[in-house]
Amino acid sequence: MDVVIKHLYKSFGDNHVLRGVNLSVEQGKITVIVGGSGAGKSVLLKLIIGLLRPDKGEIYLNGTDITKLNEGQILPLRRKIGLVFQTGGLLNSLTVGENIALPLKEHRIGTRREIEKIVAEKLELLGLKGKENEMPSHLSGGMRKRVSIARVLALNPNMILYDEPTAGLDPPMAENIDTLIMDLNKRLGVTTIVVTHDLQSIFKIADTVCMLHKGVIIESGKPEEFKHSPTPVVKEFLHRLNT
Amino acid sequence: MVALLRKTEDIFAQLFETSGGILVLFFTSIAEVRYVGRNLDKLLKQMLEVGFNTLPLASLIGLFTGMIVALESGLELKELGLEHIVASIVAFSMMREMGPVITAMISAGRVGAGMAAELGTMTVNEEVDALRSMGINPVRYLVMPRFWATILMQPLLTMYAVVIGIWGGSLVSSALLGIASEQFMHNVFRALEFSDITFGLSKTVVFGAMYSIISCYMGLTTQRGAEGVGRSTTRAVVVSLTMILVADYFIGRFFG
Repeated sequence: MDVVIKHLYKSFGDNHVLRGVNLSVEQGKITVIVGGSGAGKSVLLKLIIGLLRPDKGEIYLNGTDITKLNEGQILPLRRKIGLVFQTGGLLNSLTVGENIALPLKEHRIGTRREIEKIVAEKLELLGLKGKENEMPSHLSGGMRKRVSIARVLALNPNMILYDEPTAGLDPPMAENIDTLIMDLNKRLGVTTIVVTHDLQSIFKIADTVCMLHKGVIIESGKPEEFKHSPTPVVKEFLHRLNT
Repeated sequence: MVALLRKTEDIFAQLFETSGGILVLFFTSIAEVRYVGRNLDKLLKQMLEVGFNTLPLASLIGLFTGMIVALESGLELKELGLEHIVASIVAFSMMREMGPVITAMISAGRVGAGMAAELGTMTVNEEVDALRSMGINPVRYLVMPRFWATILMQPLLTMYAVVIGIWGGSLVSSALLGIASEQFMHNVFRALEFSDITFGLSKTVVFGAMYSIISCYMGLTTQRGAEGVGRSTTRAVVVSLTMILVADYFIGRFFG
């Protein structure tokens, strides 16, 4: 699935978060979006999946402008896109297994036995075998993120969006998640967009790095180009992350 | 002056936005009833919460409401030698007014507050956004079962509270007014007409629909973390109780 964003604007009251974002995401590649806190990175992800509506602009997913669709028309499209929330977004009243089975049950995909098989497969893939009966509140931050990824994978998406996947995790766990993102991208060929602050992640996983600053994309390129960018804001950003 | 006008404008804008949102949620929940079959488990869970789990509170409130009505009216009527009509007053007021209103109020305070708090917590924890991101309609998954469970269970709960209230009234009449229970019940059945029962129960459906939708709406529009959940819960209860009383007046005025 490819994504093309044209002149995207989004405000919350007097807070003008996005002021004309233009962005192209290549199919099957990993695009990392970086930027300071409050730059609108998470808002951009929510706009791409249609959870928020832009004030102005167009978002094309495989050539379809989703800003022209109503909520009912977007719902089926969302099955093809997975969003891994910063906090996991797991339903706390359901067990790990029930969380992963939820989209399958609600969309009536497969019999009960088939759903159980998919849940077991996804848990094993994410290294969570035997955790199906645990409640999300009993899991560590890293585990919650992996369960969230497992739930996203249950619907076999064409695109996965990750919102700060390594935030709050210790370095080994963060590296583990990075490896997982790359592995899933290679193995399943899914288009991947990652929003992160983590310098290690940026240069480890990205095919393309984009920087969002003051509501617009000010830099976009390969990780090496980004690292040696002459743009002062990018230099300052990388310097701050390094220190 | 300009600031005052702007403030007034904001209040009206908020009022229209909230009432519009509640109406949209109401009609959407009605339309979503076609998916009730595949959400039976959620519907039954909510029916248990609205009905069975509220029974102890409904028993207590119903009992004392009936006892108070019998006590207050009975002692006055005894002085006039009219204590035999206490049963009619208890039955009539419990079935048409006190039963439906009091039961709806305790349900709004217990069940409605629970709905607002639960959905509010899910909203601030991004669980509702997670549902939408998976292509799951939150109204179908979260609101519709709560709405229909309330509509189905509120009349049953009210009927139960009315029966308990009448029984409470008979206890007081027997103890303080010297009216035998059999006589009291005989007078109750003679006083109540079928239209009183349908009128009282119809009101409960309206009250149940109102507090469940208001509470779900407040929950789903929660903002700003734990503080927001508290604020939504309070607003849900206050708006529900107010609307129950307003609706009760207008139903009594135009259909009573």
